[in-house]
Amino acid sequence: MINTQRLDRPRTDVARESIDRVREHGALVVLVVLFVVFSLATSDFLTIDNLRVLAQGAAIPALIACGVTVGILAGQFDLSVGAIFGVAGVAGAYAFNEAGLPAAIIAGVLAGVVIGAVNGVLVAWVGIRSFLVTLATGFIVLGLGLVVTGGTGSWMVRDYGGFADLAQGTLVTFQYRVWIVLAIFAVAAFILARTRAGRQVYAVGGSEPAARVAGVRTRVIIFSTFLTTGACAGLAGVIGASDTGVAQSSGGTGAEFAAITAVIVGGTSIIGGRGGVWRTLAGVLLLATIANGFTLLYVDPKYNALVQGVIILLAITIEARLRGVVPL
Amino acid sequence: VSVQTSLQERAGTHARVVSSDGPSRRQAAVGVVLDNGVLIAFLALFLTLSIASDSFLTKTNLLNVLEANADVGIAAAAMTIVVVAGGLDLSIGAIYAFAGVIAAEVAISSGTVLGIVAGIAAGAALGAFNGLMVTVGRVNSFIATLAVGIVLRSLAGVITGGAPVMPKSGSAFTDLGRDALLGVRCSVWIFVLVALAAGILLARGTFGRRVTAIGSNAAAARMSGVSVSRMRFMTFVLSGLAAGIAGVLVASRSGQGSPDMAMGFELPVIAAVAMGGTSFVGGDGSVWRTVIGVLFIGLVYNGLNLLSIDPAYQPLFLGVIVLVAVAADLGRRSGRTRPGGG
Repeated sequence: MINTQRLDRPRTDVARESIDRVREHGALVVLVVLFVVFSLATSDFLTIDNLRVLAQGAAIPALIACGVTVGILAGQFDLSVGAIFGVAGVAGAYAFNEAGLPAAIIAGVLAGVVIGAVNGVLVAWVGIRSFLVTLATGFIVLGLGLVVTGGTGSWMVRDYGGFADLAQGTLVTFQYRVWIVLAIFAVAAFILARTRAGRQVYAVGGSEPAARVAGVRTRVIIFSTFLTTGACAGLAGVIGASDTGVAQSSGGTGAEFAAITAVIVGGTSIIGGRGGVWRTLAGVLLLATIANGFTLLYVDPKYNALVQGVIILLAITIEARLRGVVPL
Repeated sequence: VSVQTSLQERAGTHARVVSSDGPSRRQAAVGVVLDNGVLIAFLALFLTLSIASDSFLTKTNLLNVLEANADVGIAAAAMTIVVVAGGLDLSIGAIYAFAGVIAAEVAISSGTVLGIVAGIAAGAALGAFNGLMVTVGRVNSFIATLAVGIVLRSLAGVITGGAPVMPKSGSAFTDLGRDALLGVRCSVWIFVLVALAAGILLARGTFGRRVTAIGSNAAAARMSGVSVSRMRFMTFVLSGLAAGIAGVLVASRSGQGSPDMAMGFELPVIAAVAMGGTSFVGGDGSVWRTVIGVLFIGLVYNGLNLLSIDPAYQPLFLGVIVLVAVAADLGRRSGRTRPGGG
């Protein structure tokens, strides 16, 4: 991990490293502990069937969160991913009816990329803050989804069997979508950790002015992160639509919150510059495991929501206390 | 130094060019239009709708517009104060729903008056919690209120089991939202009162000056003896209180409190504040402009209805309004924009 310490946060290197160690491994440690606890508590947990259920449930949220992580690493919030998810699903369902599965995937990803490009231009070149831009474009996209579906908000897939293969076909016991999402995580992790563009994402998130002075084309980087976020949410939308056979334009409502929750819980710094997609994967799995374990133990599902809430509030407060984040 | 440079660099792309012998008449005119953009847009839309639709300029319709937007107006008046102080409250929709649920629950168990008091008090208490997250917890207000909002929604779901809470029909619970005084619904009167109170609080007296000071330069305000934390805390209490009042009013009007109320409520509120030209960097803004922003958005919705345009277009219009308003505002206050980002 490169050092992109922000100018306004004087902390000793030792403290910083220990914070990062907790960040890096906190979610993972809790995940392992939960695995052990649930395995001991119920014999239904550590079975291949249950793990399959867990992975298939986590795949789509993980894909959305992967893109959102890239944005947050560069200091950008994308609150439009839920809307992108819905409208990309509609685009995918439409394209599938017209031209088949490859067209569906292209259409969904393209829809996400186009919306991401609009977000990126408005943030990077017009200079509006990311959460304002994406809050507004999210609404616009939600409205567009309603308009293109003729006010119904949903689009049926004609040949469900053929389309469902994308989400439900299996390879080595796990569904395709699990492998697709893992592959995307691997690519994203590689780009972030090993390439120049990846390092520049961290630099921009650490300090945009500093990165610019150091010669990083910050606007291009910010723009690219919105393309990535849009593409991930778009692909997730197509997979989601293929799972059910009906694309709902409002189907992704709240997905942006779930994604941000996973990012925070995973330990990526919410103000940018520190973290990684693997942490987000751990965050998504942690939240999914809690939900799964509670279900198996017949705990009322509403307590799952509460536990998640406590976890997210703890995570952001701990981060802010440790880092000394200056309030907005 | 690098921050300075980037600010100037960015400012350069937006700055109105000022020649050495002062701004030209055309530039001055542009300035007047931008400074009063919301008022001009509002009057233009008002005039257009009066001409385009016979049913627009009637007492019933105009009162309906006011009533339908009272909740947004109440929350936006308080949100203006939060934004001027340099913060943002994204939990107002959740607080609104939570307060509505509490009001309905308590109304069933202990009577209407207690229910209404409890709902509003819950709003203020949750605002105080936000304030603590931001001041004691030192969490960025955007993140803190986003998280609190997520948590509150699920908490409201837990309390209600996901279903709406309905006090007995015919009970006094619906009086607050449905009764009228001098031919005008109570919710409109409350909107007017809250807007006046927030306007006076922000524009006159010490509180408003301090809030403006911490929003424009927290460090300078702190050095001149202003308790930045206390001020920030207070702004979030006010915002929570207002969201609570809005939620209780609408719960009373609809006769039920539901955890799903006011989904996406933040956007019209932020849209109204942005329309009113309040700076999202903090330090500058006014409640009356926000109120004009609320009325503008109300007219947009009303016009879409009167002209029988598909309601599906409503979120589209709202999103575009926010973007245009914020972009126009960036152009207006060229020298003070902050580099892009969360």
